[in-house]
Amino acid sequence: MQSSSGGLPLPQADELTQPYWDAATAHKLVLQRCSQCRLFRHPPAKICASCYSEESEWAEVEGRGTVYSYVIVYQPLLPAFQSRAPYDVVQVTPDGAPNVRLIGNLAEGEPRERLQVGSTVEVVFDDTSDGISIPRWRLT
Amino acid sequence: MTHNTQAKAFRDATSVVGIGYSRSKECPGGFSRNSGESVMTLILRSALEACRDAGIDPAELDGAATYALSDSAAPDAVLAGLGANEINYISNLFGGGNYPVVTLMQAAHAVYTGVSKFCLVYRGMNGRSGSRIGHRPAGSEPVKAMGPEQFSTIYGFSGPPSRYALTARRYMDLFGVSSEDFGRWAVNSRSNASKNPRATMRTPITVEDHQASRIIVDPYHLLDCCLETDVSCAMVVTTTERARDLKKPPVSISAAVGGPTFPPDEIVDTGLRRLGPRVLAEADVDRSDLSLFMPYDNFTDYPMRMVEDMGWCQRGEIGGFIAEGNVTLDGKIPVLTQGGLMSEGYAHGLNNLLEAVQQLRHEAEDLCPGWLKAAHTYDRDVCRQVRNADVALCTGVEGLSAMILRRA
Repeated sequence: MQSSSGGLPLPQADELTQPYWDAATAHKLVLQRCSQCRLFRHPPAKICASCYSEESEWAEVEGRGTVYSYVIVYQPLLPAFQSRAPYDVVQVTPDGAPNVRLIGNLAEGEPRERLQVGSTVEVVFDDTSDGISIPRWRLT
Repeated sequence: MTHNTQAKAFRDATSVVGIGYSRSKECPGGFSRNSGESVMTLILRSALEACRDAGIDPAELDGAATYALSDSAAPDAVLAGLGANEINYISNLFGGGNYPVVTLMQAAHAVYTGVSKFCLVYRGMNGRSGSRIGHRPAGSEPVKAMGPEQFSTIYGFSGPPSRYALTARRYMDLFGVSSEDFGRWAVNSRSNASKNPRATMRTPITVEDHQASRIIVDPYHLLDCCLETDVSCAMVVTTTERARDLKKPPVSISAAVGGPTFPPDEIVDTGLRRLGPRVLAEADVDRSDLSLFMPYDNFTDYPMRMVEDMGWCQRGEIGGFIAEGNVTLDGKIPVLTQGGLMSEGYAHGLNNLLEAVQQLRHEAEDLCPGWLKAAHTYDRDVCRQVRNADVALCTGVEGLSAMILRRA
């Protein structure tokens, strides 16, 4: 379980991102989508870069995806992560939102030696002691 | 005027006439790990050397352009420090690896349009002893990640090595390129640097050394990453017409294209897929006319893919292309002839452009006794001058900007 007292940075939700973290707490993965042209975007933004509409909505996605790429960090730039190194970082294209690439980690205990570009994954949520849930990924 | 007519009018109308490094008695090459000087002092030293090189009085400068993400000194303050009091043009860009080309392009535009007569281009930074890119001062680590970082930093994803390693991993997995292939690129850069007295890292390396170097972010070993250095590099730009009356052979700007762009659909693709054909057309040169290639080399694999995206070889074939000697000083397309950002040092990419100027003057600063008089031996133990160098292609990070320089 991740917590702010453990030293790892937690997300600071803001006006634009609050619905994402609210959904995560309910163990749902949602993404921002333009109400006009229906294009997903991430990270959240006020204005659609495709049609310039400021109207947007939050749409739940299935929580499955494909690994677009991944790395194993041996020498983190953030001191808080040093004790965890080496650790993986994955970039996931969620099913249903092919233009979105989510940064994340494999969930605790996942066999990272099995990671490949193209691996299929599904989301899991890590509940922290601060009441925030962090999406991570399990190999399927 | 049509775009083509404009490109033709701009073609070779402006030139780089002076180049300079932040050299001192203690630091004869200009690059160090701990300059012990302010960034302003480094910048002024490089600017003074560039003016001496051009044979102009620094007070004749009437413009200055720079770029930075962190530490720097503003162009108006730099001009004041050079006693240049009649300022017609300044440009202080906020940006990183794409900006060496973009900033030189802006200075050339300012000169071309007559706004500035002699425009200084510089990038100075205490990039190792001062503000290190991607690092945070100790004790200032965030407890909460804000803005876009709330979707990345919380996972331990932070800084250039992680970011670029994602692209490198996808490239390797999709196209069968290996870490040893990356190593071959690093070995070539270091071999060139071994003949560069300015270079920070001059001891030749092998692919085995590359493989044995510690892993920073897999797939990157230490020897896949560029250096961090304290340095300033400077150039003087004027019209090619004025350049002909100055000290050194002018190096003209044949074409300059690009700028920051939206991420591509496929991260493995570099900007040169789009900009390569365009910059060649605007400069009216063929790829086979290029004497050397100076891609931005923050990590090994990006410049390797830029070679592929220029069509010298196909995607994924770079390993064999390097192994066949094609990127060496006497190869099909010599690359990073001074060791690049990985072995010479890191002036945020501007040093790769200064090197192109030296090569095109036939004055590559190497171990040949007569280098400054363009007297080269072409003995590859000591000489890194490319034979008959007359056209160079330079790029910004990820190939998002590109420029062709020519011996005028």
